[in-house]
Amino acid sequence: MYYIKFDMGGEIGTNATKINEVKDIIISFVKLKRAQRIYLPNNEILQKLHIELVHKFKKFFMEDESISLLITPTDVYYAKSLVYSNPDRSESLAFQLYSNGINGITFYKGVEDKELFDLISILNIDMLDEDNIEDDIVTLMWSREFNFIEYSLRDDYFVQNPHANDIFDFIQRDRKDRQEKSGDKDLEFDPEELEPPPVIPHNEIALTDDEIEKIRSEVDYEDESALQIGMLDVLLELLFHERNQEEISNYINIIEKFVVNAFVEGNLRIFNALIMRYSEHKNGVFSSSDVIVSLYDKIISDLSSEPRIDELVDMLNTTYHQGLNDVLLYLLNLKKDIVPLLLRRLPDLKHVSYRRVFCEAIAQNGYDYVDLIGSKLQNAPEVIIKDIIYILGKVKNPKALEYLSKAMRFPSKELRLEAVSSIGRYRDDNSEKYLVEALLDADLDVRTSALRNIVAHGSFKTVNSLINFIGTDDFNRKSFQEKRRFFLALAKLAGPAIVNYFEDLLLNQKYQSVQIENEIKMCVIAALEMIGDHASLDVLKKAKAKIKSALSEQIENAIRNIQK
Amino acid sequence: MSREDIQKIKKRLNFDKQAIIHIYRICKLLVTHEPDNEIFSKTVHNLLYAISKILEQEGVFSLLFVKSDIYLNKARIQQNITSFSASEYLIKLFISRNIGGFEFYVLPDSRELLLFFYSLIKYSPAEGVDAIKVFEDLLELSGIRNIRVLPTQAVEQVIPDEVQVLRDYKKKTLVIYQSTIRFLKDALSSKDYISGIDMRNAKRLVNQMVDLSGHNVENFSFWGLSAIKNFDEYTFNHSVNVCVLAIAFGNALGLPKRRLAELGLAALFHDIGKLTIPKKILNKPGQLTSEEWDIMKQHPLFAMKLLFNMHGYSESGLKKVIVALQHHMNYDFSGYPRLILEKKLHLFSRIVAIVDTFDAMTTDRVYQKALKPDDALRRIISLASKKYDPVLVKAFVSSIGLYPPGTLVELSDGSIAVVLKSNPQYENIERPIIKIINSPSERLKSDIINLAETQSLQIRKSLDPEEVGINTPHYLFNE
Repeated sequence: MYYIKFDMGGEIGTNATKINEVKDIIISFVKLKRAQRIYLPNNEILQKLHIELVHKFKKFFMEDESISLLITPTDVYYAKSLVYSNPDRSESLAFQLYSNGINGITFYKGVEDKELFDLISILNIDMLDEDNIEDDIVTLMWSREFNFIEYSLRDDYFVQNPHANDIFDFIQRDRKDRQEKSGDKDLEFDPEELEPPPVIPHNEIALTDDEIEKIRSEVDYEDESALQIGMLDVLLELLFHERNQEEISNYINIIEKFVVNAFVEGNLRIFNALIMRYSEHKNGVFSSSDVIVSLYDKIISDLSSEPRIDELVDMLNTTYHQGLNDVLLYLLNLKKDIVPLLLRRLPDLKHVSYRRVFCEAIAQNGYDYVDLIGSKLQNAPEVIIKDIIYILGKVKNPKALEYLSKAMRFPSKELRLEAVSSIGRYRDDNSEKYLVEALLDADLDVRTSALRNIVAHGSFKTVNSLINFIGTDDFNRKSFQEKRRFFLALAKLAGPAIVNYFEDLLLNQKYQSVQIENEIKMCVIAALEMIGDHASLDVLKKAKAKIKSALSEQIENAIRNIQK
Repeated sequence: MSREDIQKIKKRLNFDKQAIIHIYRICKLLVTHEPDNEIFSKTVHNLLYAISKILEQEGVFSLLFVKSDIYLNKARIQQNITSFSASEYLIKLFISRNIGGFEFYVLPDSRELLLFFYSLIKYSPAEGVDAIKVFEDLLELSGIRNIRVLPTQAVEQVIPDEVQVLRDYKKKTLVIYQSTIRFLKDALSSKDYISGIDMRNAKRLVNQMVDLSGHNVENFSFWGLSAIKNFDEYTFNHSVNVCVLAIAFGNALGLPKRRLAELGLAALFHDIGKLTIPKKILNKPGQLTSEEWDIMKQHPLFAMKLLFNMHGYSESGLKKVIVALQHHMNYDFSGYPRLILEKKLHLFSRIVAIVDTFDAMTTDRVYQKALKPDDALRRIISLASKKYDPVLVKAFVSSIGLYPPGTLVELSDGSIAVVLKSNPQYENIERPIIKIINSPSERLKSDIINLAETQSLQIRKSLDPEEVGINTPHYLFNE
């Protein structure tokens, strides 16, 4: 904003081409403004118009440094030439700017795409919505601090007849009155009578370096949550001391709005900070106040209601800036019985990361809702079923395993993989049983995941199930790599206790075919090498003496590695 | 590029003060550390960043030290509390070296910068020596090719003629000041003042004040607006004055534009709760009874409730609420409303508490005669740590000066003068820029004198304008 009387812009005699170019720019500007109201930001038409406008500005600025436009109630002038006119006030760009007190606008060379888009966005805000839009167009432009767009304001916007001189009139009048009162006496001086003013000690007014730093830190850093928390402290205390029923209702109303507003404004971080503070107070210094305790419950109930959850989902679908931890903490601050609501709205969340946060919140509060959660495994898109399987894995209710075992029968490999991971989170006999069953899965990745989970459980009981699996046709059909993984998992799980069994496989066992024999013996050698104790070494040495085949080299390597 | 263009761009960037602070830190460290010390790396990096931003926009980085000011690319850098000591140090340093400043067109590397400042710190040319020549030789010897030192005599030429700027500025400040008073009067005089307040318009007016407070013009200070007093419309006049003082003070503290606007708006409405106090109590000439005082003490709470209903729940709205609620809570929590949870008061509340008192003390009321501005400051200083934040009180006095703009003073030669603007250097805190309005010496009549540069004259004492029949604002705003 600047204060020097607005220049109509352009040189007198600016050529017709330039004027036409400016006309064209304004037409594009108005078109883009209209389009922005109609289309979503990623719409092709809108983007095309935006590019077109930017291109026109760039072309103009190849020769000129700026475009200064004079705004009147109906028209826009450039270089004293009319470049835009629209008598329809509801649609007129000129009227919109002028009625907001803007009588000139200048675009400078270098104007950025984003600045133009933001300016148009500001002009498209519904200013009639006074309840929600706190600022007018000029304030919004002022706050945006455009680098390459400037505007000038009408002096008469606030004062119909600009009378800066009113103040002078007042001053003169006042002076006259006073002079009359005092008899307009001449000033008299007698320097001898003057006394020097009392001296103020240096340390009372001189700032030290530390004090300057203190000011600088307060000026540079603004802690928004401190302001909000400070306000909550005051409000709760005022409510705590208040005895007048009407005033109590007043404060309740203010506090409720104040806390909920943080949610409405989409600031979940602040909301969480406030609710944490409130919780501290209601359990601490203000715990004796039933009003404060019940108000807390009321606020939490309100935010746990269906419309509020719907609002949250809408917010998360339209904003991208909420921290995942903030959203999770927010959900965990709500009542535990929001699980059905969260489950219902889960499919409506567009962003995967927010969906996962919902899943976490459902899981943390979902112990008693396992059947409801399990029931969602049907008739839902695959991505949602996957989320449900994830929740079942984290809900910590063993009953979830029944649903997860069913999930193991889904045709989708992705879902079965998720189910194996979820089953793997449970540490009981049933979960191990399901994991061993998963070793028979048709898909290698699922089987590998099951094996990993079995090993991760570290349960010795599973070893027998695995041993029984070896030698079955299903096992023999596995690839060498998978067999090898299986044996290594077994070695990790059972350790030295399984060396005797491995010795039997290596030295005594009969096999259906030479290929299977070789594969299994190679796997055993690798497993023994992994266990690497004296017993394993002895078995390998015996094998070295007994087996004279292609395996000899592998056995020798294994012995060498163990000895190292 | 014209001077105006440069100013505009610089206003946008605001890297000027940062550059000064970084240069100051480097110079201070160079007194005790060698330039190859690791300690410099972060500050030099920050300085180079600020310089590169200015170079990027303007193609040149030229610092000139003139009298008590620093000019960056021919535009005067506005000082605030946090950058002032840095500027003062650098001005003294360059003057002592007989150098007007330095400039470069290509971003120097960190070695060049450090060596240049090191030469400045370590080498003081003897009297009669051509300092520029000496430094040019030094720079060449050090292999510094991108930095050029500037002579002092060239400096005087860069000071622009600011007469027209001053005239426009004064006019604009008065228009905004008066518009704000009218706005408040219209809004708060209506019976339904809650819905009568158009907060959008209030913001616009305050934003314009913020812009005006950021201008640095010769011989006039934005602070001076608050010297306008109106006994009959005290409520509105006081609110606007507190707004002016808060913005000016916030600006001196270095608050960014957006926060200045929030502070100004909060200050404008800090006393809105008084609308609910009966006039007979508000304007009672004598002392209030304890019952009346109890009612009076309710005004911050009334204000809080009112302001919550006026977009009070948003972040900026909340600042209005907190200032209205806290502006009578003392620094030692002895004020009102009294709370058991003693928490540090918000920065804005601590600022408004000081400027509110200052304006109230310096205005005639039915129950008190106005104090002279310097006496009001002395009173405030004496209450620091009890009622007011002691650091902010110091900052306030440093910013407004011991004789604030608008103070009527008597000089050592018997002249009477009005203070136009304070001088920012601490040693000149009692030596502002003044306008002589009556003098035994014909030569001095109507002269504007910077007492910091006229050691033969000094302020003997402040005067009560009413006693001598002088209306000081007239001299502040008239040519």
